[in-house]
Amino acid sequence: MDILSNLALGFSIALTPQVLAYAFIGCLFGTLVGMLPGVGPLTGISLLLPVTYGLNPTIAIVMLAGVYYGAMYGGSTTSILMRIPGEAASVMTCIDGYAMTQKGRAGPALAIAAIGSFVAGTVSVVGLMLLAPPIAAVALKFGPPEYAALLTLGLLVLAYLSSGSTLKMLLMALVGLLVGLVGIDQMSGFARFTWNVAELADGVGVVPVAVGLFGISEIMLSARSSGALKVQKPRLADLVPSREEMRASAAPILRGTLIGFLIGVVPGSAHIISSFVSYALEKKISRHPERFGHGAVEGVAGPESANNSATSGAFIPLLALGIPSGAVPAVMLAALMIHGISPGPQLIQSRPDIFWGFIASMYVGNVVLLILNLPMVGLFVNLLRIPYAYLYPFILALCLLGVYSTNQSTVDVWIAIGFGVLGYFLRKLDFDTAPLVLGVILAPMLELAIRQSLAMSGGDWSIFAKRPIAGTMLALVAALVIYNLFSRGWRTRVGLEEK
Amino acid sequence: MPRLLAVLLVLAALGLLVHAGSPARLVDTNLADFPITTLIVLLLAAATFALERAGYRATMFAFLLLFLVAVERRPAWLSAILSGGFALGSFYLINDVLRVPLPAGTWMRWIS
Repeated sequence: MDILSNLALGFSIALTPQVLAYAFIGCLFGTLVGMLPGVGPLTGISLLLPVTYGLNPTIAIVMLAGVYYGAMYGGSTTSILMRIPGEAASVMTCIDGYAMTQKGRAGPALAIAAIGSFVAGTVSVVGLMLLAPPIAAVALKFGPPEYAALLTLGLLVLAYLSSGSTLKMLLMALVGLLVGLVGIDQMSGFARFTWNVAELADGVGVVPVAVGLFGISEIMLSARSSGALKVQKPRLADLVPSREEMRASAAPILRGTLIGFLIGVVPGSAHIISSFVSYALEKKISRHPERFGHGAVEGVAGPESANNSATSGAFIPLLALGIPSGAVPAVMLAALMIHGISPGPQLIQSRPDIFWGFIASMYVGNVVLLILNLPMVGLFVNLLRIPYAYLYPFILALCLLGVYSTNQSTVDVWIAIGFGVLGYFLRKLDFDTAPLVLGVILAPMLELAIRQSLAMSGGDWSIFAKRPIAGTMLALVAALVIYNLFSRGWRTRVGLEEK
Repeated sequence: MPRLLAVLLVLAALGLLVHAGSPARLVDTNLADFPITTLIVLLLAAATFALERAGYRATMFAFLLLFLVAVERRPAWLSAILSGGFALGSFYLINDVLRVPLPAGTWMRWIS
């Protein structure tokens, strides 16, 4: 009953014309950035961040969330029509989606992707709605030691579960934590690593780091990639899937939804991992695995549902615990903090308008995306006809504008350029830069939690082991590290397989 | 905390050195995009330097025009229209509609 009345409150906020309009703008912008190769949801959200400063926090998070799941929808369009994943989570959709296009079934592939995304998005919001409040209620019992242990565990799990070398991930997270320590020491008030630059007293901002690492470095890597692309434009009449295709897609959509939601809750590149897991599962349990890679509709339905479901799952640790599970939720956390809102267990009680308005807006956003994506797909693909030589200077200009307008500071722009160059070289050397951004965001929280814990215990580090919840989580951290050190998987994940 | 992080970083770096054997070296990676990267960094740096001196509109117009005409060899008239449209349009949206102040530039202030 409580949930229903809260949801009613949420819909009363989400269905106001102003919130609806911003949800629509977010979804539209997200769809476009999802379609454009080289501009992922993270860049899209970072670019739109300054636009939200003049808005109230509910509208801000509704619009940014619209960009996130809009990008998930948009990424599938280019994957299916051109075999170009607009963003990383759509890589698996390329395989069978493009094969369907070559067989003349582009329309049904797009429709199944949109229907799967809609079902997954809607069902996973129900999961978010039901799970976030009880998790937050448990988290209210957490003290600083538990938070410190939880943050450490989250960072380690992210490094462990992400694709690529675990050690490189850890290294990036540590560099991020170090960058996050720049600024005034929260306990003593002394400036650390500020090099007498007054603007650094508040620390290195998340926006310049994220825009540099994801926006500017991406443009550096892709500026010479391609000109205009040949695009197939499906007609509205061609979008209807056959009864056979609908029947074959139903179970993969449900399985993809469940997989995506569960993986989304765990820190890491959830939407990417979930689409890989879903594709592998569908192929494994299929009676005709040989059809995969040659236009199997299950290969589109499963991964597309999984990556959309993962986006909702990723909001559970953010909203219930105040801990982002990946780079995109991390930037959204920064957006809320700019508005003076601290996500976490108390948010649901202290600001139900934000929490439930956001939940309700996700239902609305999914409907908006379905309406946007099916009839207007022919219109959207026209964007891909614009030569990249025209697009990338404007994306760079948006990066510059976005970073400057955050604090009206050119120091932030210099930081973004510096991180752009760093990101360019790191990516050339196969380092994933997402843990770095996460480290920058978590560093102040982690440091504060550790130092508050030590203040509670009079400097005794055993406080982390003596408290049952913190001790259990730290035991998990130790088990993960020891397992990695002594397992064969460590050496392969370190990067030996690359050779 | 910084000292603890420094120790962990050194340990992780040593781990990478020991486990990776002969890691990928920067000189071995494909740097075909290095010239355009350098150009992007130089133009971004010039724009950042000019932003609060020349103002947002003039800087953005010059930044985009240089990119489109000098780097990408696009027609000057079309580039000028697109650059001007973006510079003025984005200034109006961010500065006037959303009320996030952007630098107007000394000469613009002088004109108005």
